[in-house]
Amino acid sequence: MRSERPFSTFFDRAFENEMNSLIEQTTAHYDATNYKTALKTGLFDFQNARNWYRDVTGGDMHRDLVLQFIEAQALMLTPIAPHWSDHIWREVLQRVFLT
Amino acid sequence: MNTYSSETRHAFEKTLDWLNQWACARSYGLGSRIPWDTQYLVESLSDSTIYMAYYTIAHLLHSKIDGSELGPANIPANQMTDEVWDYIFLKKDLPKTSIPESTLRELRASFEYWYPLDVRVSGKDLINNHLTFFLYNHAALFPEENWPQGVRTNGHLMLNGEKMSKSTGNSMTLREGVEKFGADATRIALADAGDGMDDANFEENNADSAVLRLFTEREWCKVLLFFIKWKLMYRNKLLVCRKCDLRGRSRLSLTALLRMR
Repeated sequence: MRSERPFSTFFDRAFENEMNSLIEQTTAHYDATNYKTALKTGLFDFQNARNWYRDVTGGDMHRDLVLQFIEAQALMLTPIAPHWSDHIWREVLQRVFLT
Repeated sequence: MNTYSSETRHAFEKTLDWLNQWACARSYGLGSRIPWDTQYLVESLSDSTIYMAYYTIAHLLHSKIDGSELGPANIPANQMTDEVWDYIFLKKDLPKTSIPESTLRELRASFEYWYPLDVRVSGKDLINNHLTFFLYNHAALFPEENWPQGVRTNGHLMLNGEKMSKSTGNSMTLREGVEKFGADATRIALADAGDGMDDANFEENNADSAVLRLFTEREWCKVLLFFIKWKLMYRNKLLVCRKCDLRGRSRLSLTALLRMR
């Protein structure tokens, strides 16, 4: 796990970009009440992007991106899987407020 | 009005083409008497499709669903005269009534807080009856600012690719789903089933894999966060005395866990 700043590899930047893109798409799908596509971009595609990043870096991921992924995943899944997301937010991330 | 899909809008437009032939009165069944000819009744769709407005104040008017107990506003049904309704729904002047002004204000505030309604969600088979009357009745009775803002329609729900039916046994209630897969996995499979005008399909396999997905994902999050914390502590030399031991173990288990899907 790396923590240097700014990101040193292409894969870091590509993964960050992919996350941001999927977050925006998911927001748009939720706004349009299209829950099936929100689930696709917010859960399935999001995890696939993470799996790709994990594999291409051989597990040597960037700490900030891992944290960003876990947070964004919990937030995006809240409307559909609220109990799981709350568990991740409070018990795993040990966060209390939306800050 | 937001119809969320062009299919819904088209279905409304098709309905408007022939709706002028709808008989608005009948001689039997439920419904209000027609004021100028009391042997006839207004048929039920023409009669009742503004009850969403009633929802906005129902909790103040009665505390039991059958109306047998008065609600917090403490108003018996016979005091809800036309003038009182007009005051609440249509901004008309205060009526002559024994209901306290503060109570009337509260009822009106509740209605005005909730209206216009943002969206009514219903099955696609209700576009050419219930939902169209719902729009017409609102347009006839309310000013435009209180017309419905949206109608979202959906198809029917199938289970494992087959029509749900009690007789074939291919059915599942929400409670059964929650008991079998837990609430979150059930909700994921329901979202994945589809929410457009086409029929949605709840696959039990999808609910099963959602259970597994949520579980392994939580494990992955826990391990990575543990590792991040451990690394921070290690950098702060808090764990120097055990570093060789932990280092070896963490590398091993981390490699294993990173491969976990």
